[in-house]
Amino acid sequence: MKHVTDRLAAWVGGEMSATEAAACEQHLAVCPECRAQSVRMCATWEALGCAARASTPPRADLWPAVRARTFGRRGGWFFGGSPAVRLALAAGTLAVGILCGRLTGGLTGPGTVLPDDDGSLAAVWLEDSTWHSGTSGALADSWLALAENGTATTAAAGQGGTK
Amino acid sequence: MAQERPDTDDDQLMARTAAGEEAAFRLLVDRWERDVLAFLVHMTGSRDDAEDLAQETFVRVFRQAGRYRPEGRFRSWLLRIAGNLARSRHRRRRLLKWLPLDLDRHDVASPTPSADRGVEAEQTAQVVRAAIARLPERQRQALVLHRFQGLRYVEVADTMGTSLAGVESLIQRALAGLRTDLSRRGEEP
Repeated sequence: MKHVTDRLAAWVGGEMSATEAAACEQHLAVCPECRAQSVRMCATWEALGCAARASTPPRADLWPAVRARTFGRRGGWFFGGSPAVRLALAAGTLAVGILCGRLTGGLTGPGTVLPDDDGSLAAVWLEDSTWHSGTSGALADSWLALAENGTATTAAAGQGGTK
Repeated sequence: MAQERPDTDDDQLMARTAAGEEAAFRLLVDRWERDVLAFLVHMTGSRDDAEDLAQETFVRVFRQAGRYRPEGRFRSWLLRIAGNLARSRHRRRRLLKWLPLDLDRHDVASPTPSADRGVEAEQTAQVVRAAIARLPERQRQALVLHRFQGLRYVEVADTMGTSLAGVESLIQRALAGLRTDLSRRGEEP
């Protein structure tokens, strides 16, 4: 058998199969060079064990700090909920934000009229940044008419004042 | 040195953590913090750094809980995160020429005057730990995982993302390097 010096770490660490270990030990019995190496390897291996045993076990109280950076940040009304609830809240907030933005002219849109259940005008936004602040007179009538089919037209938008 | 704790339990705890169950996550932290700390102390040579990185390790475990694949290899996955953080910090410090590994801050037992054998063992341990800290990074990681954390070669390979032969080579070279280093300093084991 060839020398086993390059496999002594596996041997001393118990990482050889029984067959491999037996072959290795047979070789060590007849090879002074490998046997000398194995003695040195064992000494190093044992010194490592001594180093491990002499170390004071590290203190183990990580939880308060870890919690503060994980669950501790989720204690509010928003982060306390399930992921699905948080997603629904976020989507709702985004929708309200877009609606508000369009009502105040901050955003342009396709020109949609949102009627309430009773048919009254609830919200209007127009696609050319034109904002109609009044809901009386002919313009208001035209808006209310639009509420029936749900979509404003550029012509209707053109009758308003510019923001 | 076979693994004693079934990682399947850890997989279940990870699933519950991903679902937002704080108690499950706490159980994971309590169960593994000593192993992670011990590993990081040997990797960094500094108790303060080890605690800092161990904390960061568990924060990352929490953040990645939803993507964790329950394949019964939680320990390897956990120590891979810890090892990557240690290597990343070491590289950053080397790059910035910050503090070297501070072996003086390494946690040691406080010997009593009467415990001569304890004092001697601790002195030997300090010399050995210093030699470990001088090993190349991957050799040190493989050796610490195997000799101090009790991982089998296959687990070390999984943790480090390398082959079994690669692990054997790393540990073989680490032990030979330690031997040479200690001999040169007159501390031949």
